[in-house]
Amino acid sequence: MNGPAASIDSRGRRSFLHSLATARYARAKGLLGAWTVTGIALLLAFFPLLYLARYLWSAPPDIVDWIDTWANGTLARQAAETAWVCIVAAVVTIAASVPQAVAVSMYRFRGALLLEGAALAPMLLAPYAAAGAWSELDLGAWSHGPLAMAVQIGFSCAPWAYLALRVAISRLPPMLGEAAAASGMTRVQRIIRVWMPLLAAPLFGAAMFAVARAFGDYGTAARNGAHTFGVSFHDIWNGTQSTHVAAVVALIAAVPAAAVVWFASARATHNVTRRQGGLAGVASWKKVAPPGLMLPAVAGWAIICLALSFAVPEWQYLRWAIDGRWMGWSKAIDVSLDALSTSGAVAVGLAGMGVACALLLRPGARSGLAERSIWLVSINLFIPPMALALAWLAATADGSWLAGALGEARDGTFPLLLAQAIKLAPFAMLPVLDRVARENELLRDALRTAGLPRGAAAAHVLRMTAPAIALGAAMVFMEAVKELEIAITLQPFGYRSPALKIHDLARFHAEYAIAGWLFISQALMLPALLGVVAWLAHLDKSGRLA
Amino acid sequence: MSGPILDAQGLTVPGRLEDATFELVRGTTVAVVGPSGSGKTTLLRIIAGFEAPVSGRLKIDGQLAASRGRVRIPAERRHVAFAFQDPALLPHLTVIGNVHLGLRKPLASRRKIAREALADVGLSGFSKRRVWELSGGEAQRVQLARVLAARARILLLDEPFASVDRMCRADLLARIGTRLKERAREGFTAIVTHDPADAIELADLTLVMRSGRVVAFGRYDQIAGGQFGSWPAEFLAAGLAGREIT
Repeated sequence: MNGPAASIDSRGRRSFLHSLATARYARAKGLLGAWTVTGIALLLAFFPLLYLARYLWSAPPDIVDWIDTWANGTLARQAAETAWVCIVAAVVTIAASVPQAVAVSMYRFRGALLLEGAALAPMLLAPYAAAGAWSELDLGAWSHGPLAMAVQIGFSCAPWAYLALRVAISRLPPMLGEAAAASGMTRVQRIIRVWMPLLAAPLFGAAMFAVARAFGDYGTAARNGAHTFGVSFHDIWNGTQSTHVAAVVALIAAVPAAAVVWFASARATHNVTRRQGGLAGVASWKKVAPPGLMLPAVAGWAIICLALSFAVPEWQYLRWAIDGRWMGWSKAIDVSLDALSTSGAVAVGLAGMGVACALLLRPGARSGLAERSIWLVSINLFIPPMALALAWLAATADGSWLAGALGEARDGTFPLLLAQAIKLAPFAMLPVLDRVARENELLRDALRTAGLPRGAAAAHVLRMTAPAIALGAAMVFMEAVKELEIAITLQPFGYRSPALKIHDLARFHAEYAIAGWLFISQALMLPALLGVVAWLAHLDKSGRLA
Repeated sequence: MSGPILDAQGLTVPGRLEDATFELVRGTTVAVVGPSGSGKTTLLRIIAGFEAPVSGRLKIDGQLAASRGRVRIPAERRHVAFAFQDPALLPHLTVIGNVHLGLRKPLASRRKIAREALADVGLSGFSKRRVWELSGGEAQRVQLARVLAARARILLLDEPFASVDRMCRADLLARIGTRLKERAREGFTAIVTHDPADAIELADLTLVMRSGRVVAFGRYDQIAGGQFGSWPAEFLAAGLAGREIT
């Protein structure tokens, strides 16, 4: 087709170009909502890092000396130990999640729900609590040290990897495998050449999640006596009481994290696999019976993983709880309410961000850079949580503008809520971003032609994305209940949570007292975990339209 | 109101539509035919209000609906019922919920209208099914039922029978052909189709597109007789014979 502008005179050309500019302006205006929610998300996510970056420019000489001593002293050993722990944790995460996710997603068998429950149960046990149980068993390197830490972190991340893989596998177009089989590929060839490339992104994401956790963890490392960055950062902070140290560590972690996240966002927002109503009958994945010895093998492996990740430590704590003394209902209820209110507030706040994303982003991954940029909130997963917390401490120090703006709220739970929300935002945002990207954009057009008022149309959009928003809120709630590092640093006077109680008692190896608090935290998390299980059941039933 | 119900002048979207000009009078059913990529869906989307032409103007019932890069009357105010090429069914609603989406009546009335529309498309008994339980053809028919139930004055159907097999298509055409004409009385119906046979069965007029341009607009027999040139006639003949030409 010849360009229309070439065939008209200059006046007509000006008019045409004006119209083109108008159309582009309309498109840009349509993205205003998307950029608004992106801007708010990035402002909150990057506020600690930007605040820390200030300090790099004004580092006093003695801090440089501290860092120089660290670099010439223990840094190399800590770097090596941290890298080793990260790699082992990633391997454990993948190994403890892939077989179960493949089995439950692809095959029909009795006991699938049990297998799913076994894969998700470790969500109820924080790695620092597992560390306490294993350390008392005194099994050498498996109970104490970097190997134990890596295994515990790996198992604690496995349920998240399982969740991501369940969702990814359920969305694989089955006709790809059928086409490959028809072309003569064997089962092994199909796994290597068809399925693995399609699952590379969630596998990579799961591994990176374990790496991020291992990198910044303090509670589990301290309990195991490991000398990873999380511990050294905590020790340097204790020694220097300096935000400059926090700035250096956080910004060193942020650069590779940004690269990883930006790469992941490209994969997530391009070539999105969309499932649309009406194709289920043609392309639904009919679960078949598992072949041969697969089920006994996976079941056996799942039992081993469950034992190591959850059952053994849980049994230990149960014995201690039985032998120990109940702390009293009054104290239990007070601490529970503190945890419930803060974790609930974080979950609700981030669910609100999810609602904003659902309403303001264009479906079908058509918000372009605005949508991709929201992924950058995931950078904070890689920053040591204590660095984030210290940024908030510094930003709200006496005399600062933020302290003035917050007023009395500064001394309450608000900084804690905000810091936890910043750290846990990816758990809430990524399911919603994924859901919106996969939505059939024609549905919004269909709502418009139905003549529905804005509110009614928005209600339909929220109903479609509600499962993803609820999943994100459930995951955030569970993580917030277990969260330790930020709570240690930012807890206001008088604030208590089961996680803090466990940490405080762990210094005295008071496992008999820890047990009660552990079970309280698990009781708080259990409804959210059941919500996650229900969401997975809905995923299977709905033809992956969830 | 006198005058054309639809007045399109020089509608242009660079790369997709070029200088589309035609008028429709009230009560017309027009079949929009042409090869893949000829701009048929773009034209329908402009009429529906989802996009604005970069140049040219569109009037609906005498009112300026879109011009020069701006949508003047948004889609939700054009009283349009649109059946998309990919079935746009809301996954959280049942079939009947999807059909009566947008009807502003009491629930009992909405359901009655929806059940009648489902019966029209041969899907009685599908009311309570979920979207993921439907095949492609069934989903497309649910969408058609939604269009019939909407009582809109402008019906835009984008390849409504693409996923439907020949036997079912013949049955469907027999069922809904009259309904579509009834709906078009107050407005018009435009049906995008690859199959010229649909133009014969359903439409009063045929609009043939090629490479973003309207190359013929008139009665089927006029076009097939070569009144608008040889290519449109050959295209219609090839379509009836089951061959595709570009």
